[in-house]
Amino acid sequence: MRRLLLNLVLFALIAGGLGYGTAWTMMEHDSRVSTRRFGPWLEWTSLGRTDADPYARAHIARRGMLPLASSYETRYLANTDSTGGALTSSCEYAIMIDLAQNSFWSIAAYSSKGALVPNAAERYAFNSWTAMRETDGKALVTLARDARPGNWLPIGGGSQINIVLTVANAVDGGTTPAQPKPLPEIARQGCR
Amino acid sequence: MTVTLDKIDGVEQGARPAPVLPRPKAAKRSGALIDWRVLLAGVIAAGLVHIAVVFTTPRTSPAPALVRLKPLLPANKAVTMPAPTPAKQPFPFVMPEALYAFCRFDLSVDNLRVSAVLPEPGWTLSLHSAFGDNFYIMPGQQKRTDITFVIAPGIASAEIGSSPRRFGSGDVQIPAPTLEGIVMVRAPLKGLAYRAETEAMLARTSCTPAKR
Repeated sequence: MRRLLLNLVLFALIAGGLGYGTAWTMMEHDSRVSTRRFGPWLEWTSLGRTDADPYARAHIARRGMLPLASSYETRYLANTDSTGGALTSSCEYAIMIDLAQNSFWSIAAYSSKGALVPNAAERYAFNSWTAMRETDGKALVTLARDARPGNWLPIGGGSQINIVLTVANAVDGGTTPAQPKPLPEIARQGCR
Repeated sequence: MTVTLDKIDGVEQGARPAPVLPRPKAAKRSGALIDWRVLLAGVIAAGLVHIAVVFTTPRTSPAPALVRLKPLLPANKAVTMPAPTPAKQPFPFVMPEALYAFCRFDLSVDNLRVSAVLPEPGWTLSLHSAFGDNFYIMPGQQKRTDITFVIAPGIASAEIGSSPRRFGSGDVQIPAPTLEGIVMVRAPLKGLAYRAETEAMLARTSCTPAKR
């Protein structure tokens, strides 16, 4: 009897724990099936598409997102800097964006659950129209708690943050594909 | 040729008939409490649980985008929203530097006629199923685009009984994979100076029921 009970409990633990655990991991984290990684940036390859893989569909539903199809625009999510350290609002980061001149892009900071980061400046994102450019067309975005010159994206609160870089796949809203360029590095400048 | 201690010139030495005993079960033979067949069955069941969880999550998730937006959006009516803030964020990971117009469509009774203006690149009109899939998208072009189309139940929503029919030649009909869903017009903000103009363009989004 003791043996039967033990085996039943073991069966339930393996079936439930392993089954749900692997499903949760595949729905929430990167895997070769659904995602691609470019340095710190993670891309869900079929996000939003009607032919998306089941993990991507479950990912959208779990998070409650409403993404545009990845065939139109690509969302890259980072929760670490380029050296692998977790992104936190107690550090300062510099991101030099050098993407196709005519393609639309946007960069924003969120909490780990996708909530916008409250800040007194009420600034939550930059896009290809609002970001100030360098003379060579690049845009340097600085994420920091305290005000910085240029494109300052405030990140307060001392918690872990995510950065999402959204890039349109075509230039000028048309069908001409944007010239692929390497994704920007997320350089940590210092921490408190 | 090898010679063993038991055999010399092929003749067995001291061979006695071995008693025939019933073969013990695996678990009993090793004396283990855990049956390896339980482990195997558990792994197979885990695979089934994995598949079931992944495929049912879009339907059973407590807060997909449609559920979050339902309290804010009356059915089949366009609603424009201000730029998202931490206090008023329609759904997680929303692009913040943009204004939005939404229509929550419910095709259980009538189809839905949608009209919108997409004045320039960066603007998008997207249709999403009840599970958040983006089944149709129209991006803004260099030239201003005024669009009108009708959303009707698609093949996947044939449970309503009547098949969708074509409308007048001016109406493009887009089949929806689910009876409920979201129309979203996203207008990226170019800066404060353009805000009023963007709001005015976005306010031209309309959604009205169209008889089937």
